[in-house]
Amino acid sequence: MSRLRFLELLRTLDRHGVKHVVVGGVAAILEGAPITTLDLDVVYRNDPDNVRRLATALSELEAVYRDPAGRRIEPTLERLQRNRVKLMESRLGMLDAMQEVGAGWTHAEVLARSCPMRVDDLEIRVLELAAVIETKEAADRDKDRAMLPVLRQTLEQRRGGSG
Amino acid sequence: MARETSTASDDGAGSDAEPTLEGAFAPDGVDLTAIRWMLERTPTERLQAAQDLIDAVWALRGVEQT
Repeated sequence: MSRLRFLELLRTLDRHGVKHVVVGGVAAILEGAPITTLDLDVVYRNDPDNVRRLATALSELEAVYRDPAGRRIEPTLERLQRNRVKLMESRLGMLDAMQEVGAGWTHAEVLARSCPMRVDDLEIRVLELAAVIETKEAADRDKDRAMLPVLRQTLEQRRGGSG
Repeated sequence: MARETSTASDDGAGSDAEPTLEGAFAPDGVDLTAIRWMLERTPTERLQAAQDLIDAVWALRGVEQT
């Protein structure tokens, strides 16, 4: 397993011009939630040019699917277009590239619920915390439910003027 | 400016001051001090805090493996 490098992963996607929105745990962290996560989740725009850019970025990252059977499966253009969710391992850590998140939100829908954010020297789009909470509620897995109280309290604190 | 002119006892740093947990936790047990700490940071600093935690875990793993 490679050590997760958040900023370098984001920088690689940015350098290749991949249109994406940061979602999941990293979005929650950027929005101020004191949580941790072991991967970077992004929703990318599913058009041929963008998928090609994503494929190039993933190649540079030496990404392969996290395959339960332990097979080495690389994210080809066809696989990227065909599968809605890609759980991948790269030389900069785990990266989940998705065509949709939560209750079937596509890139256009998460983009509408995102905010621009400057992180180091990058300008990225990040799913707003309220929307992150909605995606976690929709996913309804144990790990998501466990995180929800912290996310909701963070949102409450922000609305109270502390953020 | 008020902070610069306050005395030690004004800001709770005097020897008589005692730490309190009042307001530290939400009714559901969530640590509000951690949330406030994060909200005081910039997005870059928040991501760095998450990165630092991962790096620390990796460093500990390295110690355990040697």
